[in-house]
Amino acid sequence: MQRYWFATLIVLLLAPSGSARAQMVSARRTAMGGVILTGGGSGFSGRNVAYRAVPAAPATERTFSLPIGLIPFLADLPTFDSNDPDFNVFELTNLLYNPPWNLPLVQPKTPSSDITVAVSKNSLSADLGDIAAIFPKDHSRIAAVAEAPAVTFGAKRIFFGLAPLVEYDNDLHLNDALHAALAEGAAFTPRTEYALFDKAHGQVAAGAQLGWAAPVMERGDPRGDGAGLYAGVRFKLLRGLAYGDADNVAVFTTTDTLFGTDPVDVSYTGRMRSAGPSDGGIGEGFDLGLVWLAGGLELGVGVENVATRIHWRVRETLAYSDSATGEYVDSTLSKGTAFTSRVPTTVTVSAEERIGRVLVAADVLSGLHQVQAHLGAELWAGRVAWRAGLSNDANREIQYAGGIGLRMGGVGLDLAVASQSRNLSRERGIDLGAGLTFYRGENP
Amino acid sequence: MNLRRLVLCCGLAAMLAGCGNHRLVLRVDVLSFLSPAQAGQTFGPLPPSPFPVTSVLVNDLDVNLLEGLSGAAVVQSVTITTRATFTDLTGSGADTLRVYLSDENTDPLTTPAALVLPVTLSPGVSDTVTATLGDDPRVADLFTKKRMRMSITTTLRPPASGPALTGSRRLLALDAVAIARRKDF
Repeated sequence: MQRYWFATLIVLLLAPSGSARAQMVSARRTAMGGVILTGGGSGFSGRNVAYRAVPAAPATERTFSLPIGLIPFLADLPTFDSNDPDFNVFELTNLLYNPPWNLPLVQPKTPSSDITVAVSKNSLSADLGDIAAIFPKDHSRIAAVAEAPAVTFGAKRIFFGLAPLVEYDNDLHLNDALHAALAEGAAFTPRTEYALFDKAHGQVAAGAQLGWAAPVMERGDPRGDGAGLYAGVRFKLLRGLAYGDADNVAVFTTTDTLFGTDPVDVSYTGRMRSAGPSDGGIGEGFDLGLVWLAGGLELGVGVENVATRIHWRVRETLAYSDSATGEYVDSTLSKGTAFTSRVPTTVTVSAEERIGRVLVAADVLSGLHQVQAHLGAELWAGRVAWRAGLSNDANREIQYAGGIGLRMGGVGLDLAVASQSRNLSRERGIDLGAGLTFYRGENP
Repeated sequence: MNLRRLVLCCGLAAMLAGCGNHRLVLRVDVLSFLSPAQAGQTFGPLPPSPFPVTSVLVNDLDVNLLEGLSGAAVVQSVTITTRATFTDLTGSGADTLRVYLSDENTDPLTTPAALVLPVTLSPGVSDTVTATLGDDPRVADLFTKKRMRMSITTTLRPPASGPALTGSRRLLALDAVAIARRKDF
């Protein structure tokens, strides 16, 4: 069990997504609210393939985030031993939401209070304490698409690459009655239906990419007084390695008397599909990108995983509670059934412009059940950069960030302080990030 | 009377408790499961006699108390508190309320009383008495099972002489509090 937890943690730590990944990429980005900072060239083509064709900015930098949060984390490791009294799966889950890369200055509280259940003949109420906060009023969703950095080989406008793909999505929803009982401590009432719905799926595939990116139009110096329009497309050939989904529904309806002589039966139905490497088929899809440069303004639109599908041969099973025996039954409905999964499309719109001495950048990411926006600014005063930013996160909360950068020749040190609510109870915490930057040319 | 599926949703609560370093505190109002006739009675007239009279108020109540809890958590302690009011109209004597708890294969009345509530009765006096059971390993162990059985008896001691004993008794509270910790994840 301990090894399982540790392995799971390591795998997920290595494949964080979204804003959690941003904090590991750059302290400069973190200080600017996590906004996407572009600069042209192949290194910026992750979300917008057209950037492969965009000429690199005269002043660019390469940043390396320093894992200063790992030191206290390793010094005081959480227990992975489920028999240890201090074992807390909520603490471990929070680590997956927010890997300990940055140093926590204000750490969100881990759910740890007692749970109190009060029962009488016609009344049942549950005070879940801190845990109640993990049940949001609407759907609780965790979703991500992670494509490992592609190994690419390019010749002129054509390039080829390899990049595995991992995608997962979980949607947990309680009906109003059950939510009120669990999250708000409302008493369970007679003649009421309580229901829990959970839909989850995940898939892993190996991928090969073949792409094209080129200027569509260029006039003068696109990064100077001229203009340029750049486009790119990246076709993906995928080979399914593993797939699983589950659609679970648990329902019970209380009778006239909560705990009278009539038993209350929980009706559970779970429909599942699964496939292993030998059941994986071929999939396909593509990414599109467009970038416009003019007069110092840079606009980009990247669309990832357009019409991306993977074909499988799945095993379908149905699990349900047998009302006659009260036992749970797991039956196989079919084997080798053809099934096609989809990879959700995400859209990224980014903009960057220098207004006087201030660099302003913004982006909007849409997809995976959410829309996130980031806005950041950077002002260089001599060798010091002052940065600030804000964003709305996956929980629709505004997060704030700020920081400084100190440049000494070609090397710089960046510090960032940013708020975040990447934890089960969505409490706000504050992290300190640090990084090194290697500059080429003037200040970016 | 059957406390079926008493902790239907305690299963989920127990699971949640099992996931963290929390305790699950289960408060059960046992009195609410008793009928009015079981919760309050009048007694007498009992003429003077050297022999006590025992009657069963609750006969072998089936309690499926911890169906959702036993798999996920270990019961650390159980506290049972009872409070009753006794009114003596005539005569003097004594009354003793006893609560018996046993596993599903044992008649509760063959086990030692888990809780004893004695009271001395004086004519014209109404008295409210409270008794608490705590840290009894045998009772705590019962709460780790899926089912247990409960009986409640009362033993009246009539007056040695004088007027016959008449009066009433009423259970005001019978609460069980079980505190459990995660067994394993």
